[in-house]
Amino acid sequence: MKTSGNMVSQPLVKAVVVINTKGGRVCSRFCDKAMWPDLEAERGFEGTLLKKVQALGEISHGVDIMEFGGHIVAYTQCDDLLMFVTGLASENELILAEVLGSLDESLNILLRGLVYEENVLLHLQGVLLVIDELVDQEGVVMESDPAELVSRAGVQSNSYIDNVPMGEQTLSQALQIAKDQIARSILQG
Amino acid sequence: MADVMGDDRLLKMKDEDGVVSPFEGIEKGSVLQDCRCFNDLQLDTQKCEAVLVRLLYLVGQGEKLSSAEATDVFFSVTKLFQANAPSLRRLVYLAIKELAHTAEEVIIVTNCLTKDINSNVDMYRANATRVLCKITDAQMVQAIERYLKQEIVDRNPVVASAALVSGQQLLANNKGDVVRRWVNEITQALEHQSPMVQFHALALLYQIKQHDRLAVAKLVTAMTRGGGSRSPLATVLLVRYAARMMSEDTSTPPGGRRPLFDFLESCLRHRSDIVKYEAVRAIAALPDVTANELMPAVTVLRLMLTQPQAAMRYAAMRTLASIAFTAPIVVAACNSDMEILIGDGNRSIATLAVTTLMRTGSESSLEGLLKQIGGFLADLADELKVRVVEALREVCLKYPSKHHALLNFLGNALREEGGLEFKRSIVSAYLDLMATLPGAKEMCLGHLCEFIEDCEHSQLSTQILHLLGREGPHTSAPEKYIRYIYNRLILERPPVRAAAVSALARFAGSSSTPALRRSVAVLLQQSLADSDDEVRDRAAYLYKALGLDQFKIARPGVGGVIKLVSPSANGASTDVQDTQNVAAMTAKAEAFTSLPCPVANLEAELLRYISTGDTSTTFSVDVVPKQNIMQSAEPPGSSGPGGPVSTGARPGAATAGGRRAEPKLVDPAAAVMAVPQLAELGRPFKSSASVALTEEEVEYTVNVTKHLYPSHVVLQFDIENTLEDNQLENVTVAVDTSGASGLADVVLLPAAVAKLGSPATAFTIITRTDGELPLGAMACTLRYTVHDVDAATGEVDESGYEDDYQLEDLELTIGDLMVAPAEPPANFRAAWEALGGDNEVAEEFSLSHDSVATAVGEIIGYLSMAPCGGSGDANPRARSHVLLMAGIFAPKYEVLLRAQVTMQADGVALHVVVRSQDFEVSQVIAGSIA
Repeated sequence: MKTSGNMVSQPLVKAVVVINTKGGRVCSRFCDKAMWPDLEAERGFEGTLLKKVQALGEISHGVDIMEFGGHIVAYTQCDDLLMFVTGLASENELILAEVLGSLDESLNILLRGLVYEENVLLHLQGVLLVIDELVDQEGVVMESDPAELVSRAGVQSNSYIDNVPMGEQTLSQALQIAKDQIARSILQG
Repeated sequence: MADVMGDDRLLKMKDEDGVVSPFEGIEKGSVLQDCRCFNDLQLDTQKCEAVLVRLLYLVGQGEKLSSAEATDVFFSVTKLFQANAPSLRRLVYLAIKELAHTAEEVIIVTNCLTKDINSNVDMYRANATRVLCKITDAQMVQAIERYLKQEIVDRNPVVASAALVSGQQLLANNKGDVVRRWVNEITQALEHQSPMVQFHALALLYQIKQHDRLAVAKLVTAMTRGGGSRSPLATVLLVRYAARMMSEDTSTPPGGRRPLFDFLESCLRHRSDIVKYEAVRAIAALPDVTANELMPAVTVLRLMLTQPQAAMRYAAMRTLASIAFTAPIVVAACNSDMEILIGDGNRSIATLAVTTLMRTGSESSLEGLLKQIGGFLADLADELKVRVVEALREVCLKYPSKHHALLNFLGNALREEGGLEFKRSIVSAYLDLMATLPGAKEMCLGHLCEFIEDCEHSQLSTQILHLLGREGPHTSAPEKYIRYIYNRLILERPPVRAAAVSALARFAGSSSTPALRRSVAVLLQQSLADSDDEVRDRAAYLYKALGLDQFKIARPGVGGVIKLVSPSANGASTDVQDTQNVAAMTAKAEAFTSLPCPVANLEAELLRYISTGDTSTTFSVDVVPKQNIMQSAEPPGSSGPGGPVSTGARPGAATAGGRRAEPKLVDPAAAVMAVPQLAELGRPFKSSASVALTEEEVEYTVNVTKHLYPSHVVLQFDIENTLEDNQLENVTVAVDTSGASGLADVVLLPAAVAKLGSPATAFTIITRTDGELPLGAMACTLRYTVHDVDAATGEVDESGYEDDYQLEDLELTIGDLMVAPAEPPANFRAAWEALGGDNEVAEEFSLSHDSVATAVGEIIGYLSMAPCGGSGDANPRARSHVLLMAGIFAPKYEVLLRAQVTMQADGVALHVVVRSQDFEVSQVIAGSIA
């Protein structure tokens, strides 16, 4: 018998939202088309998030949690940015908090501690890639180690980042690539 | 306002001009124009990146590309694959994922992506896999299957994760049956050195096996025995799977689930907080967890309460709050830690702490707690305030002796700032408390009076005025409320004024003294000239109807003083007469101003009236039944056309094939009332839910709906023929009434044809005998003439033969004679006392149920009475429960029932007390349960 409704779900992120303190979207990834079918729903949700945060009062320095309308939301503030990671109310909030923590941390590495709206927009390329490496479009957590995230985003030393600490990483990766290549050629041959 | 201030203080605002967005003023047109640089022979990667980011920004902000635009972009993007710049390539992948929506676009890039999957740069392989699996179809997947399989066992975690997660996506979207062939590779990936790969592998493995319980059990047992996984997230998955297995597996005795429970318990000591917390949640949610099993989990939560991270405290508090619902005693161990959290900076945590403490705290600690809440309630968001109020209400009901302090607290809260939702929750708390604590009534009314003096929500004002009108005249000092009501009359908006007029008029009712009536007359007179039509009409009607015009009131003189002239120097005899008159007038006015039936019933009856098209008789509100006639449509999937046949259907006329009942309230009697021969019987007193008289999946399925009338019983049989090669004609259902009491002549109303796909309805009408209740079992036989049908041509054979088909017995029970009132008495005790003990019958039974909750559920189902005051839901772990129910027994006897269900060694003991307006009725009902 088919029991698809009976399936145990893996930890899923429903949305990653970064907005400024006026509610304007900086970059967001919504992972549930059923929950937010169109742009209007997404914007509405972002507005609600902002309203709830303002109503709840002081934000501590770390990650905070709130719950409303079937969502559990981990949120944090970075200068003039608010970042949210949301899941279903039944989700393990510590996982969401960890995902948000990773996002925060990797942006800090990427932007060398200068995480504010203008700088994020300036370096949007790296930010978008980090989010893409953090959770995929369906909300599966891909990776949560901040250093690994930044290196996977593969933003190369550019005018704005002189040297992302990835020297060692690249070396070991290069070795790995070489090994794999040899292995593959042996297998195919 | 607190919110605005908080906003300023906390969210450091920059000057309006502070943020200069690098994307200021860009538009789609120009960005698309810029995309042409992708076609340059000598690619400028940095420039291309910049253009792509701008494009992604626009799409992220909600811009949509037209199909032609997207195709253009995709064609240009294929050029970018020639550049070997990783960061540009990475961006290209992201852009394809974000932009690809139609098949044409996908085809353009598929080739490039396939090439990348075969590349030797890991980053390309991983990302090309993610993108390709997202946008491609099942056929393409087969072409790249070989690579995917290889990637799963790749040593680079990026590649392995990409392939595994893509596999999940393929399966979920039904285009990856190939994925099922990868079990070996995936199992190998479980041992990958990257924790994330282990997590993705386990999730995919479970997804493949989830429909095979045995395979899942094997997987989980093997993994848990090995002590779980090194990856925290994979362990979280294991915890979830194990918990699910334990809750599904009800057959194994508690001891049998031991290994799995041990695993959960061991996870409580896991080094990762995420796993610890997941295990706590799993244990707390086990269906029949004991206090002993909960203890270690609660200890973990207690440690989490003192952690510096808000997320940890929140998680712990949220879980403790939910445990406190079922096992407050276990949670009480954390009381001291929770008290500290009342001052927590995260208001959500503080609120959870407060509401939980109210459940776990003792009666004596309550007042201290109230003091603490008072300090912080004002700066909570409305939503959180509502939660606090709800907890307060619960506590108030739990400790009635403390209601004084609690009510005062609520009264203060009512005067505080707050939105409608918050105020509404307090008002409804008051209403609840008044219903259950009669002693607190006047205090509640007092607080509510204060509230409407300064209430900006018309809805609440009208609600409270209505309440004052209902309760005020019966209090010890009705005069005191009149002032409050009168103030509304002169200060408020029309809807509130109208409510105030109605409320005020109630004070001139039969229970009032002549002096009071006179005062009301004076006050009401002013509204006779109100500027609002509704207010004026109400005042005028009530003024007359209640006979207030007998008080001749002198017009205000020069001094503006109203002088009241008594109608006459009345003697004692006229006084008595007056009282009687007033009573009669009151009753009449009340009947006129209140709807005598539920709104849903009125709607249904009006619709029926219109649909008959016969307007020769006027519609009368008196024919609308007072009990709940509407039933929610039965869940889809039940066999047979249980739903109503469409209006206007004749017996035998085929109704629309297999029409699903809509998920809304339906009138179960609609079908029977649509039959001309039966319409004259009127509306049945009770229509029971449809019951199957056959097994599922037999040749002919029959469902019956029982309709009870004062003089008849009508059985509505919905017959469905599931055979293709014959059709039934002249279908009737014969019933043998010899085994049942109170039934006489039987008339059959046949259904003409029943064939595949078009169910038919036959009726059997039984006359009731006087003085006996129609109870007992009846044997039913389906009779019909079978005509063969040629399945190929659909031709029906002329010659048929008669046949019959034995159905299951049909039973008429007490429940069929009982209807649940639309509004069960809010105050059961008062209703119980009012009915009196004259016709009281008590009985003792012992039932063979294994839990109190199931016994309670069955009693409700059997008697089909309405549970009162939430007593219908017994805690699944309760050892004893008191069930209070109200019903109306055919045709009009009011029945109240009090059942005490207690767990015993060999089943449950049931003590029933029934009160009704007739001794025999009480006897029959009490005796029927056995």
